[in-house]
Amino acid sequence: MNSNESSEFDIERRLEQIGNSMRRNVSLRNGVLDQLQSDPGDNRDASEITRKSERKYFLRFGELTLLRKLLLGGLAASVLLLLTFGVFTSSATVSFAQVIENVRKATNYQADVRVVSIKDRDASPVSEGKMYWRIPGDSRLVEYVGSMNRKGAKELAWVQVHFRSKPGVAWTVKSKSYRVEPPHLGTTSPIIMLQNLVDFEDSASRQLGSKSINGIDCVGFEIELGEVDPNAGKGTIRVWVDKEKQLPLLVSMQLYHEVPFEMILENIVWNAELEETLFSTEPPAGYTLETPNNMSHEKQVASIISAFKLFAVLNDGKYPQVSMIYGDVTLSTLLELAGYAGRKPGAWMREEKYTKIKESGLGWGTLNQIMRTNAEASYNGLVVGPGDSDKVLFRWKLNDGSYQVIYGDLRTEKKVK
Amino acid sequence: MQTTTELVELAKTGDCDAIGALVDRYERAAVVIAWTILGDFHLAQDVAQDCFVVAFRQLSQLRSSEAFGGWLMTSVRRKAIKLKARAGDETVDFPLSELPDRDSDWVFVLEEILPMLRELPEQEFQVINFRYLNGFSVKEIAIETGRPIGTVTKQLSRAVRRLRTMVNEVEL
Repeated sequence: MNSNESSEFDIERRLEQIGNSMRRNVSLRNGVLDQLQSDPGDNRDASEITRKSERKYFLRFGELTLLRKLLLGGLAASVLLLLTFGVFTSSATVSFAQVIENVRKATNYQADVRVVSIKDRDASPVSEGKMYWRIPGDSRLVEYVGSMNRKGAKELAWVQVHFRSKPGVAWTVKSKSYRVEPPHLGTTSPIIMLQNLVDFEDSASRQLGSKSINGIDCVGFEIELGEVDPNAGKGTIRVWVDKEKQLPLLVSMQLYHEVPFEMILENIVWNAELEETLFSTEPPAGYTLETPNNMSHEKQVASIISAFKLFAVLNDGKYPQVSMIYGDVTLSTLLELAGYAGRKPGAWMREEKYTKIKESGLGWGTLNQIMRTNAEASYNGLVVGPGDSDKVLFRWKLNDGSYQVIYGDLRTEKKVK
Repeated sequence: MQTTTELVELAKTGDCDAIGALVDRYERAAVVIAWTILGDFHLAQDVAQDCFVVAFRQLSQLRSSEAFGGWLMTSVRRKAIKLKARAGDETVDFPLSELPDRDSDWVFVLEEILPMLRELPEQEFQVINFRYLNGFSVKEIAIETGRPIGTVTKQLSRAVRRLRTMVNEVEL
């Protein structure tokens, strides 16, 4: 062996030594997680990080997902649904029949949106934004960055414009990029479907009495979220109606998922003219199209099957007993089934079962996206179990016109019809 | 093992396990980058940690999830250079007293190697860092850096040759 070979071997060995030693001696995981949990912050330079705030980081991303999910076109339906309940239970301080009619006739609305932690209501909002909705279901949702600009004004972080029958757009200010959003053709929660409201006529609501909101006399009532949409998890919805205008002024949803939070829609303005530009699909000048990170079809199928398999194992041989699957709700259910719900972070988070549950999020998220955007997606977990090798558990239409089918025994097949 | 893209997508939903896994995957590369610039192990860890925190806060603005590693490393480099500039031109070596004392062999090896890593061209430093210090495969480095596997292999062997020459010069 010449001296060069000897040195080469030596330097590589030394580098590997360093790598192995660093694996033992460097661990930033807990520090990063602690810092994120102690201060979610937003858009600040690292040198400005403070570690004093008690806001909870994990609320942030989770709620934004829910925010988009629940708010896109959801307000009018939620309100109308609750008002429908109100007809049967209210005293006559407000003509609920008239309010229902007013909501039903609404052509558009706009509202300020706030997301706050239920456990820490005194903390500043986790997220703030604004939403616009108009018939037949067009929506625009924006989120502001966490801090004001130098002039004390709120600045946009991102914007999403959605339609039911044509592609929408989503753009992000910081990266000056945009992506095309698919039309919302698929299944949606009854929370956001007006036509299903009649199905809930027999459920009960709770009166909240009267109160003044920003000097406006309102009357309020509440209903369990599960009564409206059994797939949406634990929660309640409250509506406060402006007595004079006979239209809702504030709607709030308390969602008791893995991290409890409340979403508040306030300063609701009905039927004010909305500029057409609000629903433009044209991104701002100079923005670039994002490269989509689409999973391959095979990977989508594999992630869904793996998620189903895990659920059946933990749920006594049954798939999710719902008609619409939400990723976050299903994950919460799995954590509950596995006995992890509500536990403080600890060594159990390294258990294989917990890791698998978390990894299944990819499958649930994929499934939810397909159900939201694919008009011919169908999930039959309520009536199909692992023993049903000849029954369709989940199927959706592919771009080539064929159907991807997953049977009860998780066998897969592509079918032309 | 989940890919960086999958982990980033999960991290965007607030999944603390995915965030932790991403930290595990990139922490050594991040610390080494800051360390070669600052020459201070503890400061390098602080910089790396702060950059992770900022990166996760701004994750929704990342255009391509697979670019997470490069995005993070750029941020660490910038932050470290910024801190170094604030501290003035003070040259910092690698004082043993600043290093963890749990593994003394490591300390000595590092003291010897890190100044040499600082001398490598940027692209070669990057592949050495990912390969040897962070434990990535050549294929993973190719994905991280967006370079063909053949290029990564060549850069690795060039970097090793260069380091070998530096070691020889020291030994002479």
